[in-house]
Amino acid sequence: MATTAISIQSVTKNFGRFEALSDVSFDIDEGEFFTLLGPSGCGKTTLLRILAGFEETTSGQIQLFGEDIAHQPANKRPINTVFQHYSLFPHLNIHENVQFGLKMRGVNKRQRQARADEMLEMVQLDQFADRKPHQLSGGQQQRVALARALAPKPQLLLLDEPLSALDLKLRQSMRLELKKIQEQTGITFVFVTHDQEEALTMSDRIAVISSGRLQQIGTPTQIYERPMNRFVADFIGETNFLEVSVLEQKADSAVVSFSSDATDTPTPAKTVEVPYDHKIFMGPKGILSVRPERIHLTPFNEKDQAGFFHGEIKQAIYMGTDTQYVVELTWGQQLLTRHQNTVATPYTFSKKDRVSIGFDANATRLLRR
Amino acid sequence: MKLDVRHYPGARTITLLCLFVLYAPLLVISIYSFNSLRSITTWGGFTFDWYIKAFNNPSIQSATLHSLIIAFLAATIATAFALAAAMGLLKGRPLKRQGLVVGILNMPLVIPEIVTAVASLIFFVAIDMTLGLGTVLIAHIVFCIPFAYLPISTRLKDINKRFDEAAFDLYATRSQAFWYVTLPMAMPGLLSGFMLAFIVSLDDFIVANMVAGPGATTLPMAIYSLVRIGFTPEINAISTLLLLVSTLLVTVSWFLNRPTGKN
Amino acid sequence: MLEKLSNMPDRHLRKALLTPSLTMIGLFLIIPIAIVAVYSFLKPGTYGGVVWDFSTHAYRQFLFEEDFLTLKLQFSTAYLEIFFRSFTQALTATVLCFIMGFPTAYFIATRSEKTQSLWLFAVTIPYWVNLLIRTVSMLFIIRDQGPINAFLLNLGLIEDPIKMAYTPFAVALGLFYSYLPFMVLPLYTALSRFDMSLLTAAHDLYASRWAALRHVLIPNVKNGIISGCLLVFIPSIGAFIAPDLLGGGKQLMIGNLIALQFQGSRNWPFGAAVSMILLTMVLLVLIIFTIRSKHRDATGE
Repeated sequence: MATTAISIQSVTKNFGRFEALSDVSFDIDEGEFFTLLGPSGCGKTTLLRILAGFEETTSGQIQLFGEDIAHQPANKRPINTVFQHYSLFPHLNIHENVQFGLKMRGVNKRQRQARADEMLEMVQLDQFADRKPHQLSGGQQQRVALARALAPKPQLLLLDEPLSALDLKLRQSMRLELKKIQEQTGITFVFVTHDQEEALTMSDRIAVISSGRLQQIGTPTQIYERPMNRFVADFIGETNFLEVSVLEQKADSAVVSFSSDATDTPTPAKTVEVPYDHKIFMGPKGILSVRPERIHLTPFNEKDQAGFFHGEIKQAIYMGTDTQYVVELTWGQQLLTRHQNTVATPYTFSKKDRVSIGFDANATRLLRR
Repeated sequence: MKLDVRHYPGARTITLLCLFVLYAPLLVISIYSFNSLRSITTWGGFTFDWYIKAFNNPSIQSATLHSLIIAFLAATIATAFALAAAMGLLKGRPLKRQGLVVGILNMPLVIPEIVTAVASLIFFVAIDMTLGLGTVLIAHIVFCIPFAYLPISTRLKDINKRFDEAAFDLYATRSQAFWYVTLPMAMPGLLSGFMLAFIVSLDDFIVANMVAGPGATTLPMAIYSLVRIGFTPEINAISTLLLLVSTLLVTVSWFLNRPTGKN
Repeated sequence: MLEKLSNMPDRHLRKALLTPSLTMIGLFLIIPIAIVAVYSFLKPGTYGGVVWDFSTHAYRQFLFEEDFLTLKLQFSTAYLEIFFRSFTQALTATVLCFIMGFPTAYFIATRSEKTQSLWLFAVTIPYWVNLLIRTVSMLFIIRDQGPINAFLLNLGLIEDPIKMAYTPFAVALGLFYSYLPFMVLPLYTALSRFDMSLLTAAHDLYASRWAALRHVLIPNVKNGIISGCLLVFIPSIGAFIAPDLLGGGKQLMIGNLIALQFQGSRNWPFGAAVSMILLTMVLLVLIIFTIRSKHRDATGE
């Protein structure tokens, strides 16, 4: 049974009349790499600042290993932050920067210096110890910021979009490094990002936040394969939404039929049985989320109408590893499909080709409209 | 380049003319301060005589001493006060009457010097304070404050709040954060402010003339009385020295306060 | 409660930090000015100082003179002349500064970034040199026995020295010399913020460079122009040193008039009254232009 590192209970934060966080509750386990994921302005950074101690909650509790810290000032909390813009002290060299937290805590010189040496070695910057921050590259500065925050052995490490200023290749290698360091030190990491690919690759668990509310919390697989609402399905990865009517609800499946939204005439009336998660309370109308990679296209055959619908290829986008197609359905809705370009690819299509659209019913997700 | 509509003919010429007009009188006076003859038309040879004469003049000596002491004290006190004011104003959310406070801090710059001088004189007399070096010092501190405040506040504003946050995140108390982060980062602004305040105090004539008591002569006052009598090369020598000191201080201050782009 | 958590200094500490500066200025500048205002409504003491008797004599003295024989008040223009002269001198200095300063600021603003600060530095250094010394050196140059006259006499271009010193021209020149950097700096700031590509756009639309100057450049740097003019005009109107040294005692301006009341003439209330008039004028000008610039900002001109 994992120990709870942080327990956030009904936290609300208002800035004047603006509600930045609304009744947010969840727990983070010790040793987890936990990510707060959401679009800009969703409140994730506010939550992080509340954890760090730079903002106070309007209401709610926060407990660190069982102790209430909501009213504890930032400089007394055993929580450290890796800031988005690093905030390395420009007047101190790297080594002194890393020592800073320990110096403030009153650790003696010899121990501080040894610890700083150790930290810089861990991030592979020990030979730059004498340099000032502005003499290092962005990626190097970021590693120093990490070393500085870890030196005082905090109980929790907060990372505020630390990789957002780096270019793609660097970002990818830093993701691996961060993950490695987290596993090495065993410290609980709370990572904030708006990049869902980052969240999926690095996290043990993710909390998806939008407009100040917690949308869903779970492992990357859970979030991706079993989103609980439209926002999460749309925000993580890409998906297509098809409007359906729920005809029948069974134990863990439901029978739905498709309707077009442009006109009210049902398409070639096809029904299909799809998996159904009872936690999502459904009414008579719903949407079916189908990921692009789960859709298969076959050439349209008048006589033998396979698949659920048919449509016309609007765009064929070759992306190296995959090909994406934008298919326009008979009622005007466009679907995005994607499939890998392997030797075994049966069909390639071009603009204006007519296709039949099918998908594996078990790979869909039924959500509230 | 000439086809570029943004190029206006004559701009360079006028700029050079401006600089010429600004520097020529000062250069001329400096040159003549080394002339061994009192004449304008003839060059008698290079000499430091006038400098020596000026140095040996007892009233000049005491006036210089007074000016230096007052300038040093006024600059130090004004800088300390200005730093405190800048910390009070800029650390945290804007105060209720922020605009008013900034207005008051800058007030000495807006009031015409002669009015400041007169007001100071009337005040000291009204409260029965003896006029002397002390009154000059007090009056100087007052108008040195805004001069020190400007570079300090510019510097502090540049120091983003995030460095304070980083310090707190790393367990610093408020005074530790001030001592180890804010102060070192603001130091160029402090030194710059000190030097500007120093020059401004050293340069002042109008206020000092009005509120100084007998025997409390400052260097500008001494120069003024000499000029009233008539032109002597000693005046040139003293002027050149003051020129050099001012230029030196301003140059150092400028180098210190250049935006470093460290943020 | 909130303040404790945020670790920002609390309100009391911040007020305490402001106290020394505010007290200094409040006690030794604001209160004294208030006293000056009060004094301007009192009667002069025999040897200077004041007599605590309410009287508007000081202000009336400004406009009227008591005729010695008839004791009747006669409208006198003596002091008004001084104000008028101060006004015209300050205006002349401002115009001169603008004519020289605008091209200079433009030139500097169009240099490469690194050189810009050097040019600015070169222009500002003279300001920091003692004003007395700068004025003295100006006097040194333009007086009858000065180098300019000596040079011209030597070359035989003139027979008698040109009288430059101790003339209104000298005073205007002195004011111009004193405050030129104050015109250049705000102009430079406004010009450096100006988007030069607008001039190229104007050119594309058939404007000559002078038309572009008039219709595009100047309207967009209006705020800088006004700042610069105010920064020259206001100190000039209250100047003491330039009219005193370069005017030879005949070109009295407001500053000299005020100083005189506390040295020779010993008419303190009158000196206080003139000071208040000067101060009011300066504050009015500032307020008017601040309001207009705020209005201009608000209407997005």
